[in-house]
Amino acid sequence: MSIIRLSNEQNLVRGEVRKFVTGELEPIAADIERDRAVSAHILEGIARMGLFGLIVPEQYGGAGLDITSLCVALEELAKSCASLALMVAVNNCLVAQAILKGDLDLGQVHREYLKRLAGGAVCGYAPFTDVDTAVQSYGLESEGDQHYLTGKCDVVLAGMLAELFVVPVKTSESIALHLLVRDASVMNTYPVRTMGMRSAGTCGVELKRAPLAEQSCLLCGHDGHDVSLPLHGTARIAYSAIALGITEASLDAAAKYSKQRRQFGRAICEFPMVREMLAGIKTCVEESRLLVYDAASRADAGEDHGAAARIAFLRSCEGAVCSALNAIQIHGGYGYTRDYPVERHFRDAKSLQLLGEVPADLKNKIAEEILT
Amino acid sequence: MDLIVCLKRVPQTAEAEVQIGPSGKEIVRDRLTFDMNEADSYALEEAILLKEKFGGTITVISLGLPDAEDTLRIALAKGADHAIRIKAEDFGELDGFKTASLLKDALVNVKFDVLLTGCVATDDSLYQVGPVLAELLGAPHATLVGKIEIAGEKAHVNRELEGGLIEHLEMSLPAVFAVQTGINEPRYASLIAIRRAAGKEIKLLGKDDIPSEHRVNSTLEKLFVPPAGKRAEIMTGTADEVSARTASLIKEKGLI
Repeated sequence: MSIIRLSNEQNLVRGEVRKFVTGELEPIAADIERDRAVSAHILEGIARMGLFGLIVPEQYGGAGLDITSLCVALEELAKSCASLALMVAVNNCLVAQAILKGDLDLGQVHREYLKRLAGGAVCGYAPFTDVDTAVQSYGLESEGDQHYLTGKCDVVLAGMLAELFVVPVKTSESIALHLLVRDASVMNTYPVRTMGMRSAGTCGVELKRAPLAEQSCLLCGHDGHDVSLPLHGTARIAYSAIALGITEASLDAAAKYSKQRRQFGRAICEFPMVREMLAGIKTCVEESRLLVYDAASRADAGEDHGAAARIAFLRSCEGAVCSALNAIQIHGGYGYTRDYPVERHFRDAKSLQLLGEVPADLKNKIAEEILT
Repeated sequence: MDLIVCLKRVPQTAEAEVQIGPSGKEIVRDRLTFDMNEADSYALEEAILLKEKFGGTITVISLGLPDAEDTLRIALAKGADHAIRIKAEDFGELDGFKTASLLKDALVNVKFDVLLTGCVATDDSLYQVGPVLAELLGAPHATLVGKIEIAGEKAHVNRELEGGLIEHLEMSLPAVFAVQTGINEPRYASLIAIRRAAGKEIKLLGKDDIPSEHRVNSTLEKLFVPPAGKRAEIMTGTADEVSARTASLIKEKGLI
């Protein structure tokens, strides 16, 4: 019996998201990948279900669900379209969290932003993990009370379709995260050709004297670490849930193909080497599941979940990459073609691994926690 | 307008391997996923559309095991107001007639203008519950319904017949409609509605609440997978040999 016990509500969320995925998303998953964009029809469906504001409190137009429910939804979405899952994760874990900051007594301006987000406005987020990256992004100019941003950021997640953006702004004393509304007259977005997560709308954003609105500053600190730290814990859990979904998709594809494909007079699933690979992928699924939902339940309980999130992220991403490679191997040459989904699973898994800290940094931090 | 929708939770068997359990009378449930019967989801959507147009309330009812409450909660999340589960675990073997009889007894005090069911359940393919329930309730009914329009005390419905024909009926209310798939586009429940529905009360009716005797008219003897036939012939040999054999087969069968 599994130690993971989802509530009735979380199981209902899984069932309904799964139904959406099999009914609407799965039939066009290959088209989404080819077009490098999630269709408007799918985005509207996701917005109507309330996935873009899943963890946003009900008073701000969200569904008011917990991190575990978010993981359940992301896992299901990622089985079919990891890019869409990433967009949902960005909205919830990075942008909504940056606006909320754990503070439920929000000003009117921030309330309006959250309502737009929860109502389905796609949000872009410029990730950064250190001071150096932020230096490359936007500079602040001031004229009286009015402030302007100028500069370029080469990687903004979900930026191509975004209505709202959260971007880092560097001044001599601090780094801050500011919220911007899309304005074509001062903003130029250009696609970034990524290896995986091709439909997540990753782009560069160039700003030319983009005026900052009142209360646009969401988080402010001395360095990038200060500013991004409150967001990255839950984001790592969300990315881990996406990795879990990708690993499950690899397992499903590999198992299905191994039963269909015959060689030397029998299905290849009868060969010990194939069975070993299937067992390895299944082990990754179960291992990731335990780590993801353990970290999520800690976050929901208000416990310190930093270490659990790092370990979940490290292992579930490694598991997703390794499992997708083995799924390709089971497919043989066909696995390398776009006729089968496993090469996409590999590219998506690898992208995910590069979204947060690199594995070496994660391991270093995990070691630090052991040694201190 | 008061509406009732009968819902059934069924195994999703379209792409699953169905195995028969050791009793020979049931399928192995462990590795199957269960969800609202497809035609019932269209019946529910039709009820929601009628409620949006005319107001009123929707009562959803399911004769099922405890997990049928998940199906009822999704219905509550989509727009139903009240939910009833008849505890299938209290009533032993079921067939179409007994199911309809239990539903009729459970609904005896529930007023309705329109009662909707799916036209068929994908697990037993009986096509019975809607019409039998209507007869037991003494209400007019239509099956394979592809369109419903309500005007005053009358309903105008289209029924789908074989050969692409449509039958248009005028019926008085209250009435029972067994709805065909494709009549509308069922919505997905929003997550906030699921959250609200998770805590709503579901009324349970067991053998103490529906005490009268109910009988089955048919008893399941066994389930089985039909043996594979030998109708296919795999032809081997050279292209000339295969062509000659194909030509002789066509002549043998009198196809030309």
